[in-house]
Amino acid sequence: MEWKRIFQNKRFLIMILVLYVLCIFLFYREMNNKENKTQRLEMKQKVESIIDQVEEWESTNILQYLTEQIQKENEQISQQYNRNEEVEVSGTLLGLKEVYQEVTALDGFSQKVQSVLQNEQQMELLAVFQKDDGYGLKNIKKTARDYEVLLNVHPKLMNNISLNRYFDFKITDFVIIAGAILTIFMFLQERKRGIWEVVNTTKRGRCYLAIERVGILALLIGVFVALFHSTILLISIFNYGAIDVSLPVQSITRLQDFTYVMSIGQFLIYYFIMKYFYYFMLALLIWLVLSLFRNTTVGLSIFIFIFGVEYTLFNTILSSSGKNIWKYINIAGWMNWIEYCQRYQNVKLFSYPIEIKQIALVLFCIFTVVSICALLILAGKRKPIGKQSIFTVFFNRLGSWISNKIPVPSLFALEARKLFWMQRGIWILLILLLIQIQMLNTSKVYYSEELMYRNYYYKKYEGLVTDQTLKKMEEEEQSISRAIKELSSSFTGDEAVDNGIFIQIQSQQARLTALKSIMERGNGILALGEKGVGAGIVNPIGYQHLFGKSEEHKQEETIFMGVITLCLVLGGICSLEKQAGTYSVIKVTKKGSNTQVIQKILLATICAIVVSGIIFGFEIYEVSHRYGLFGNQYRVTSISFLESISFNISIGQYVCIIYGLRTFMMILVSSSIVFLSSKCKTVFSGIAISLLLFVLPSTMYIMGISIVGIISVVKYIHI
Amino acid sequence: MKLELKNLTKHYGEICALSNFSATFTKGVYGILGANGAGKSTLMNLITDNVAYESGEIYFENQRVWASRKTFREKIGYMPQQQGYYEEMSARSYLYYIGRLKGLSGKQLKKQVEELLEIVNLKDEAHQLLRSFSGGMKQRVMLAQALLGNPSILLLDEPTAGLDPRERIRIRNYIAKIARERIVLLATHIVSDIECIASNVLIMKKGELKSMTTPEQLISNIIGKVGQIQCTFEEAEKLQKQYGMGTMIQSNDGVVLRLVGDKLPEQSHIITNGITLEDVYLYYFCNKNT
Repeated sequence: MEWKRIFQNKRFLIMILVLYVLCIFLFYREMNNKENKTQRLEMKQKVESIIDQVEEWESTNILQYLTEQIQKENEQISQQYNRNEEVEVSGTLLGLKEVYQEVTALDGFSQKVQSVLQNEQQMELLAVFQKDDGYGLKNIKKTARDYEVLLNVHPKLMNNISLNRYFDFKITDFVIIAGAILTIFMFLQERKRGIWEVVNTTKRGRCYLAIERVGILALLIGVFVALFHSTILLISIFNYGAIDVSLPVQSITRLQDFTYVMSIGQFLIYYFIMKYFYYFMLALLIWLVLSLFRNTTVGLSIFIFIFGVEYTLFNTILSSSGKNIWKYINIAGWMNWIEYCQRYQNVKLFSYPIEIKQIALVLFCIFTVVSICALLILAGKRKPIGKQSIFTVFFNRLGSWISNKIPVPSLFALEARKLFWMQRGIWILLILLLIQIQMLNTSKVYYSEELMYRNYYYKKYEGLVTDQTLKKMEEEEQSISRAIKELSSSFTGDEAVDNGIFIQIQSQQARLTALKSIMERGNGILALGEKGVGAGIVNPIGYQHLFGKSEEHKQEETIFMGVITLCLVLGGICSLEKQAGTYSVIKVTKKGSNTQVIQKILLATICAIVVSGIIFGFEIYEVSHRYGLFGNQYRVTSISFLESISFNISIGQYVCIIYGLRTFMMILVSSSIVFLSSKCKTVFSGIAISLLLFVLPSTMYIMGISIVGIISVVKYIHI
Repeated sequence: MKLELKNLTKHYGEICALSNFSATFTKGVYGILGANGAGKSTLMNLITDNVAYESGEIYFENQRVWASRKTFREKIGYMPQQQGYYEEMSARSYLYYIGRLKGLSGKQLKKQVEELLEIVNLKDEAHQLLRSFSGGMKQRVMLAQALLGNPSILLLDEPTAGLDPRERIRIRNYIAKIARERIVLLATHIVSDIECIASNVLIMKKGELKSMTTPEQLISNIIGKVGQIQCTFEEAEKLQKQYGMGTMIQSNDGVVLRLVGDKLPEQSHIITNGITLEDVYLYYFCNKNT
């Protein structure tokens, strides 16, 4: 009956569905962070066509061909830039670069394997390794044996992008772990609902029930892995191109150090299975820790602390460190199983080299078996009534001590406690923060040569435009033109030398084109000045990402994250009283009507400001870090696509106004959620109604159903 | 059928919740009377193995219970004081869930559930979610789940709390009927429930068993210790401060104060007829002179 209780629980199923949709949404967001739709399609088509064309060629020929293609593409992009300022780099160029990297990596594969084997032979001759039982020699020998199997592996050129994007997307792990935690909370519900004593008294209410629950957990984790991982993989394949699962797994260039002979298809099955083992083991550990403590909040906090410590160790200890065993025997580190696959690493265990994957697998088994046994023992021995743990006693005493020291909190503070602590609002805000951190993309942007020069000249000539400025530009233009002319007349007939000269000419031409575009902008600004509109030369690239049409989608997704968060945090703000049965008592008090409502609206406003601060703060940080937000002291008309703004405000002021307005709209949404919540009888229904009215239309709008835009709050917040 | 408790003791830290409790139960209803903190729930939790035992033994049919807990759990039906349930379930699905946990099979379970829903008068509401039930309706569901599996020992903690008089009488009559074939331990503050159906009453105070005898014997033990006095409100308050809590009965001439204790005011009129278990309760738990 337990499986029925869980699988027929609508709330549970809806939460799993929400996690599933969230996972997909965040994957789309991550894809859009890396490249837009057009770039993605171009990249996919280019990669597929190039591979079809060159797969039988020698690698040197492929590299030469790709170099020529890249140069050609740079030229085409230059021409495009003159027509359309908003294009950074084409998907075609991205695709060419990807293939180039893959070919380079594949080219070095057999050499790498050979070098490992040669290393063994050379090291054996050295006196320091003559000692038979020394770890160093054992490690070298083991490494050579493991790599030897790759001698007969011949990886082929293939489109790696879809698999790389899938492997790099870490959110799936967190979402599945969240699903496992929800499942465990369902198991522990009997404690919260006061039914533990009754269940514990029944014939099958202890070990039998625990066994059934282990089975349910095993099944659910399997469903999560199959559903979530396969969905993300399929979306990735759909967007970035198909894969040939029959090729050797070392055709995936990041897995060239994976010393097992298997096809890509077999590897994916292996990967799914390892992920399943990991999640199942982790879920059992979480369940065990939560079961040890009667207070689930204490238990969960302790687990998060342990996980946090492990995560920190994994990220801070170097692979080459003598303490690297703490990096690789790490419950948080195992989450990144792909890193274990792409790195060949042995650790010293009782003077024997053991591969980290093998150690991990053994430990998965041990932890799983030990957890199951411990859970069964706990189910049989643990009583519903008993002593509180030292943690619970400590926290209770701490709470009492604090309560005694501080004055009685105000109504506002008590309402805040209800919202952020009792209703777990603080957890949702922390999750939003974690997601934003995880998805923060501060990687360097790849620019074509011409765009690099354009950025350079924007920086050089940033500011107000005078005749002097234009004169300097003209002088520089002439200088570059002279250089191009000189280079053009210096061809020697020697292919190698001429190629070098040709590349220099290309570079100077890119530079010239870039300078001309700045000069054109400068002339445009002078013309504006004659109309009485002040402006300066300012690089618009960062502001395009904040306000430009081409990046509208990303901006809307950012706002969407904020709207979801507000619905989840505030959906039950008023309905909690009705659910808890305290509504009728509160309503008859002096402050139980208007004053309480005002407090709640004020709280909701603060929440909206915090959420806006997080989402917009990260947005601005990411853009300023990747692209730069320059010249914000100049007039807003300095940005080419904002020339029509007639107010005499600076760019910085404009940014503040726009984000201020967006934050104000978020506050309006939060107030609406408070109103809806007051009409609902339970916290869950309050959240569900908010999600239905605010999130569902916005989801459809973002996915491209523009007709829904009329009822999508994201569209209205996106000022 | 015999349930023996021998020298059961349980401490919660420094507090002694149960002290050397010994009693033997056979078929019938045993009412357990005691103030809050007397040890009634601790007793029930020890029998149901919901709290770790400290010392003492429990025997059922001369078998040590804690040596074969699973077998013993098949014999128990437990209704705790706290109304615990899954609010997303309907009454019927909740009973099915508990029934399955009790090891009941499909047809047998279905039949029992329908019968019990009829008995507790919830057949028409069985499909509704528990969250929509009133307190009394939830109480009836809790009673029904305790009765699933036809247990030999029924442990009921405040089974009629929250029920209207009509329902209370129905449930009470049903308990009396089924107690002919099982041991029923009934902990309650509603003295009239015990008065009507209990064949024996256990008086518990501060973890100790003070008395275990029939209601009639308990009543006869306090003959001569119940008195009534006509007075004003203010006088009644003074007397209660001196002699312990009594029952105040409104009359046309003021208040009639009914006191119970070894020492009574001189002017009080001693009552020998119409003494109830409520008087017994007051004697043991509210009297300053006991």
